[in-house]
Amino acid sequence: MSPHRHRDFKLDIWGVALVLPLLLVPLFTTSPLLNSLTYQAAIGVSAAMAVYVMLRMGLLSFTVPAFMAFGGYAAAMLAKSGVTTNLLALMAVSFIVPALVAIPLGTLVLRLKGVYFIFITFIFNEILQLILFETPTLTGGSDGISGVPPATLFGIDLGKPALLVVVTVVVCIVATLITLAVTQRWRAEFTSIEENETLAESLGVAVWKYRTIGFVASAGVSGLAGFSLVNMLSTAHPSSFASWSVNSYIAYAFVGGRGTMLGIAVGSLLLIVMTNVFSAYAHLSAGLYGILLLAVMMAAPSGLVGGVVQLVDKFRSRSRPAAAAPVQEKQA
Amino acid sequence: MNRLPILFRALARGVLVLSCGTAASMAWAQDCEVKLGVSGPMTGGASAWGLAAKAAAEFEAAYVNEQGGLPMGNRKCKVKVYPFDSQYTVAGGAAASNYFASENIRIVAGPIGGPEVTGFRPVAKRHGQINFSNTYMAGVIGTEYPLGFHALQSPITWGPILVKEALKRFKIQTLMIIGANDSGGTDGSKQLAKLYGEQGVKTQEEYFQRGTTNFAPIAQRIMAAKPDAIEIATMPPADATQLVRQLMDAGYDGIIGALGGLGAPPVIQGAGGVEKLKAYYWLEIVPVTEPGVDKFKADFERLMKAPPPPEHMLPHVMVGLNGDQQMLRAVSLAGTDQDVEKIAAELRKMTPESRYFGRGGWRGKAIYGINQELAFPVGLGVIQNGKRVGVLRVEIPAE
Amino acid sequence: MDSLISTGLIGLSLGTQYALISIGFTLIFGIMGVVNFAHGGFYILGGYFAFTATTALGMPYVAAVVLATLATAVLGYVIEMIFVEKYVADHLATMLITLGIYQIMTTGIVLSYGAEPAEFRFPVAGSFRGPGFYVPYANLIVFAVCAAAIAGVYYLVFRTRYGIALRAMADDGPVARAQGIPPAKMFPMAFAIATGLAGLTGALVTPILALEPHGGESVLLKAFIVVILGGLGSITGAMVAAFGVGVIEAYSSVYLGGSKGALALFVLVVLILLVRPQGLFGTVARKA
Repeated sequence: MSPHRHRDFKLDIWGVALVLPLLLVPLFTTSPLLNSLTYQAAIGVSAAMAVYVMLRMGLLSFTVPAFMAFGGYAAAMLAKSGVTTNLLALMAVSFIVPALVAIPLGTLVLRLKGVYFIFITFIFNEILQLILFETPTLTGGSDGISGVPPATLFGIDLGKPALLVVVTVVVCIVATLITLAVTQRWRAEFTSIEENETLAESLGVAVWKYRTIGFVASAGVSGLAGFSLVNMLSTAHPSSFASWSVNSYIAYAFVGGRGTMLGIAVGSLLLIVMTNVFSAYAHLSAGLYGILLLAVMMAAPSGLVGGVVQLVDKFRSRSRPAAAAPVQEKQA
Repeated sequence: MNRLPILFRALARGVLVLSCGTAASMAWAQDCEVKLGVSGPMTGGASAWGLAAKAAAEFEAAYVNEQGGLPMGNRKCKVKVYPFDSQYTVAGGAAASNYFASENIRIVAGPIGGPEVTGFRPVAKRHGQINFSNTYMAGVIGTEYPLGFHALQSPITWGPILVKEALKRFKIQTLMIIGANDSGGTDGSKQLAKLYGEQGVKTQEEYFQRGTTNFAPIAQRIMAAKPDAIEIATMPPADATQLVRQLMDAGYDGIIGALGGLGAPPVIQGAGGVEKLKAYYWLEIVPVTEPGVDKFKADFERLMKAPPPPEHMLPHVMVGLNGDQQMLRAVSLAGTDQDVEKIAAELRKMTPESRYFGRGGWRGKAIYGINQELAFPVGLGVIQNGKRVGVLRVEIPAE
Repeated sequence: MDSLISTGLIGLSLGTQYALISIGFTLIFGIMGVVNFAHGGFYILGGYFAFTATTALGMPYVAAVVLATLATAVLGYVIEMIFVEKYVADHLATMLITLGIYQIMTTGIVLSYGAEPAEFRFPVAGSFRGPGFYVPYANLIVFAVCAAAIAGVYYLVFRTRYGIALRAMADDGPVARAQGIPPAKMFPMAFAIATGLAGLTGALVTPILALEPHGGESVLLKAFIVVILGGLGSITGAMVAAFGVGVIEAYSSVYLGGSKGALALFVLVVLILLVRPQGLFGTVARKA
């Protein structure tokens, strides 16, 4: 892991900054394409951030769609029940419900390592899809919950198309800030777990505690992404949370660069635009996406942002060959 | 600062892609073009249906363009097809509508799947887009969506007539309805359960995990339950073929019914020939024994320079054609492909007509509250004791 | 009870198919640590190659199967050399690369053969019928081939020098390298063997089931389940788990129905893994 903690922090901030201009799109244009790309990007970035939180610990979690479903369905049920459609309440519910589910699930699942962990989390998605199907009275089964009323904010109806998009971007910003807070607050602990777990344990890092924190945060952020999606489509539907959709979020993280939040944002924006471009080529779209994935992963395995950062490092070390290595900060 | 290049690069990429798209679409508009959108699943398991809709639209465009274009007032405009892969999801349907809106496309064939329609229509309502969808989902059209049309009829419409006919020929007291555990399976299966139930048949719905390739366990389950008949209408063709094949392996000799989009060829293929089927009845969503079908096949080969669609996809392509023909005719009568109210008015006014099936009608008021479902005749095909008995043409009354 | 026996037989035939498809998957995994998301793609390509050989080239079925196996092995070798070799150390990158390759394969198949299932039939039809049960002849033949393939792989891995080298690499890569075992030569061969096995399975099984462009997806999931349950890198584990999963799937589908049966199977797999996180035959020490 790089000792460039300061630089990585700056890149993370830039990740948040990259998302902010999305707010302007629905307010300044009615172009359906730009608005569509904006809300898709907002939702995609939120989900990719959930992946990022786990990646900071060296864990690739396939749970994102499942926790998105928990968050989305919880918010949908609350909104449809008539109790409240307050945006803040819905956001809170969509964060808390998956987070609560993640606590017991985490104790069971976080003991697993590497691919076993990936696998269990993937199966968890499949199980959830089946449970959704088998519980039509609660979740609408294969039809889902439609006609979900849009969120409101203290009397202001946010149901107009432009405002729906604004809501997704706001949720995205919140999700991004939470990710920033969590990954910065416990950066050292997460990094030590990622680099060498046994060493971390022996140094006194309570690995299980931080893993759980990361898992719960990831679940909550996923839930926010799920709420965002449900609010935008006014529907909570199983097809929105299919297991294979996690491949997209993972691809956003990897193509952009899994090391920093800027990478996540860049990857999401780029791939979402490209997916939309490819969708217009109908049956070729999967193949084109595959080629894109291959090309980026082979040319820049640490992602676009990671690759650029490496290039910049190379330039720097060439122009300053005598510079001493920066002193590493150690956190107790 | 060296952060800026990254930022600019990302933004520039997005802008470049968008401006290219806009420039391209602007160039076309000047050559008098009528735009027809197609939305459906074009990748993934349900892609056969989406690609059938795409093939129908492309054929219709080719046909019209061969005559010089679609007559619009005193000139003729080329028809261009814009396909979009909506991936059988709610989000995909919404994205499709937004894409069409960005290209000023106001007439859309599809979407094909229930979830796609759920996502598509609220967005399409805002943008002002007319669509002809193919799904069996409940409430597929309604007064809430005045621009939404239905290209075929759901089980709820022809079900009572066809179930009655089937029960005349075959003794069925218990029925197992088989479908995949997604909305494609449940939409049709739930309606069928109700329809058969209303005529005194005891039904049981059986859902299998979507993506199943080996149906031996399901076949065994059916054999153990020993129903008089099984209903497989909502199954994708490949799955149906496989199930029938493995049922035959297991020694099934009961009745098979398919009152839905499945058709005859997959089941005949699975059984290994008509002579191996003891009792099979199915819905023809377009009556495939009509001379119009041969005419279509000939036209297709001539225009597309390719063999016509395979037997079991033929009805889906022709149903798509029905919708496409009405939309294009309405555009021609209205003289615009942009003013949706005018186009919709023409649609509602006209008597639907198919180049291959003659005149049809509009219906839907009784069930959906709005007369925007195409009423063309359907058929009930019957195979009994290894022999084709024929296809009973069933008129669907207009309202 | 008739149904119990029939279901058991169905479970065994399912197990055979899963065993064949999983050996290759666990081989790549165990030795290279690579999760090959394109494994299902090689399976379905094996089917399409055999299909083309029998229809377009008019070859007899057996020859077509052999050809398909070789073709997928060669393809796997080439793909490993070009796309995977450099990134073998980065497990997450190889996952995405193989995922991209899978998408390209599927699109290529759709463009070449169409989205419709191909009519590819097993040359032997009919079933062996006993009192109250049946076994399709095709399943018996596949069982025989599977047994031969498993025997072949065991021989290769446990009796040949090459196999010993592979196991050394799997056990401790750096030490094996220090001993002079060249990963650059071993990996492509290992990959080729695995993809060849996947192609063989496809050529054998798709004529019994279905040959269509997306047939690889469910295969990948099953292979994943079997390999994880058996213990990553353990061939014995994969064998046992394959038959276990096949039998459980058969009984749960027949007695609970397809959808509930799938749920039961997944929950059971999760429970087993929670009790024994390294899989049935996996070793605890290895960080996967």
